[in-house]
Amino acid sequence: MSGASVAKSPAIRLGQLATLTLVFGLFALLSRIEPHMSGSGVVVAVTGFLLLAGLLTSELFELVKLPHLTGYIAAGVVAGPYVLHFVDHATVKRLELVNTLALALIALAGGLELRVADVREVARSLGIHSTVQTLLVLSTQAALFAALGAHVDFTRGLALPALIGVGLLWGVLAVSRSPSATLAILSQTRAKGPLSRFSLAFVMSSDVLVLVLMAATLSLVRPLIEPGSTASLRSLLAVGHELLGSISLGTTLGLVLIVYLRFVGTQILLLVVAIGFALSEGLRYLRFEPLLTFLTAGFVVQNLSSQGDKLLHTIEQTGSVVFIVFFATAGAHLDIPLLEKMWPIALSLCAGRFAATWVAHRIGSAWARDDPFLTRWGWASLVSQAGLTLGLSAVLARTFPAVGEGLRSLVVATVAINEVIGPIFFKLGLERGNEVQHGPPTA
Amino acid sequence: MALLLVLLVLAYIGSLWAASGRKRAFGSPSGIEYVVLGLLLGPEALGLLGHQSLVTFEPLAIVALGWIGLIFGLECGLVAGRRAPLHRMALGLTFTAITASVTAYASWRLLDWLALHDVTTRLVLSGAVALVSVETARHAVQWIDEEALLSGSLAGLLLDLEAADDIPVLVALSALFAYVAGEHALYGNVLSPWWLGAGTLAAGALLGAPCAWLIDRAGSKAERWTVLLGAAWLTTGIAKSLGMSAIAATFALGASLATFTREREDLRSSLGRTEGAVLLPALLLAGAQLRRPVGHGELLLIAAAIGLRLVLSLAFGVTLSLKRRETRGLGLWLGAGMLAPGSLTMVVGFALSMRCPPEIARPALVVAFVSTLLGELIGPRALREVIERFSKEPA
Repeated sequence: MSGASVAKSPAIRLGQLATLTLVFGLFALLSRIEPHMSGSGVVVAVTGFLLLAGLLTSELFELVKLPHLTGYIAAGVVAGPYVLHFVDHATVKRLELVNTLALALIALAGGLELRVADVREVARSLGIHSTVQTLLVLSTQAALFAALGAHVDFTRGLALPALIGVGLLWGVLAVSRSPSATLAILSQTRAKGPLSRFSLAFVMSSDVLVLVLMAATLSLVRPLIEPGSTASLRSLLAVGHELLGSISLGTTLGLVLIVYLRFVGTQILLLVVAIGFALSEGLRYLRFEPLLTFLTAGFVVQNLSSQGDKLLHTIEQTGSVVFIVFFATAGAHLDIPLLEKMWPIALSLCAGRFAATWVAHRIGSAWARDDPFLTRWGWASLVSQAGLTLGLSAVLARTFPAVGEGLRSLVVATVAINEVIGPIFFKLGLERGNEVQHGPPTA
Repeated sequence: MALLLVLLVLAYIGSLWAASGRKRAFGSPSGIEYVVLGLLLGPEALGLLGHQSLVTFEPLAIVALGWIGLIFGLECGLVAGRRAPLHRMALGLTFTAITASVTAYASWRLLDWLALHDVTTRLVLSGAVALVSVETARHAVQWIDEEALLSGSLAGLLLDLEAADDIPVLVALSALFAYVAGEHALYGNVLSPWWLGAGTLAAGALLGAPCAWLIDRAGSKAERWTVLLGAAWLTTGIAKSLGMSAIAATFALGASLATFTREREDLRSSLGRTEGAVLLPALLLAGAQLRRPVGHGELLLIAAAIGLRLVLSLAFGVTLSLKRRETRGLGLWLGAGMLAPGSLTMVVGFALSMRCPPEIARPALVVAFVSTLLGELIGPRALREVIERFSKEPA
């Protein structure tokens, strides 16, 4: 949404650094004068702080060719509860409302970027890659987890069937990707080309695939983890309800948006923001998947009307604001002490996932006869993990209280790593493929 | 809560729709109709908006007030893109300062007479009443100007007089909030409230300079908006967290931005388009906060404040007319025209109602409302009369 940056002089970079120092200084002073801040004021102050700090950090990160997204996360981590303590846990929690809106806008933009013609172009390759990635990553990650089980606190002493069960759940989590990170990088670079087309279609469709897969696995592994319980189709039914409900609601929303855009066509952003807030709350109540709902709505508007680009342009006007708030808050959420404690296991699992993703991509590319560039760099967008993975781990924590909390902590630790390194690889891939659009941005 | 959300969205859409044409020429200059709507829906009338709804929307109200302060700051001292002459601004400032001082002193004496012995409450209440009694007619004059009814030297004079009259109100508001907030500590040293109040204004002004620099060098509109939103929210949040006036702090930010950026005209125009969108819902919320005065003492205080406002305005009009040949004989009409308030009065009243205890918030908001309503009924008509008579005079 922010567009690719034009080159900036050293004087500008120094000015940005000075402003960043001033912003941090002001907030440090505030937290010294009022150490126990609470209430609405602090939420507003933190949002403003994260916007400025995220923007300036991402600009400075350009010097070392890191993506903006990494800068947003870094600003959040530094300001968060484990480094400078500017943002405490309660405030991070209160920012969820802003995050909900950000996610709705990101998903809507994601759906709007998906054009049937583009998807059709990569459909065969997409099908092959989805199959290979799912089978290979799931199985190798499950095996790796089972092998490392003796070194993990919450699985040490588990019987083999239970260990396999938890391993399979881990495998499914490893298959999930990050639509928001993918969109953030595509938005920053305004990339166009085979890699961006493939990544967008793959990551968006994997969202649905992972939900189905998780439901099926939950039904399957329950008797393994909790001896005495029986396999049940209840989870599958629940996911079916969630998926169909989300798609139906998303389609309806898309049609409503088309009518509004066609016959009213003004104050579109206001409408989208109002819908984002109101519907996200409603979706939580209905237990539908917000990401999928807004994604479907965007897809419907783009492909069933001529209003898609108009809506996309309007959402793009929110600029980097949405991404900064979303990822800086995610940065503040990162549990650094936990990562410190679990890093050997987390790093091993991340390395295993990375290797499996790379190998699966090479196999898939050879099978689908992808062009050489896609074969070389197609894996780059598949490393990032973020909100979806964390959301699924929260479901596991509720479903299997005995091992779920430990599993969730490990997920938080691995997501922290993947969330940071994934976007760097993806941006690198887009640059290597000359897909990044240079020059002054239009937005 | 759902009703409030719907109303806010309607107010927002309505204001944006109206603002899509000319900037000010919609509804009344002060937006009083939204205050009345809020009053009707609030606990004092239909009771559709409860206290809880207003608490829920507090963060939005804070953000709105901060944004309004930023816009006022960007426009401060300027008339149609040119800087108003210093001597005329000084005259306008003097009038505001005199009105505020006289009203505050009279309220102080009256409250003493009414046996309100708590010095802190008496001081804050006197100050609050004074602050919602002083704003002059900038928005009304702009409104008339945009209707192309007012032209020539008289329009210029009136606009110049009003160009900077927000400054004393917002500086005094900042001081009042600081007084209410009391002392803080920093590294074991006691920070006096005055230092903290000044510090919040300084933080806004300080942040404005580098942000202006960033805005001038922004690679895209999106980047520019990110800087603006970030600076406005950070300043608003800092002020609010310390118990200071957010609207005054962002006013300082806006004035600083306007001073340092090369893009000031573009900024003013971009932010001006958002004014209605934040102002009118804030006015609706302010209306819903209105409460009936309690006791004869409050009624007397309100009546005295309104009466003083009327007398001082007329006196100023007469003084002004004596100074300028072309306006001789129009003094009373001119004074009555100066009664027309802009939106600042209600905004300040709203800010006070969110910060102060009910015994201060209640009369202050009522004075703001009655003063705005009265000004709305008298001011624009009187200004039109001035114009009509002025145009009949030989040049």
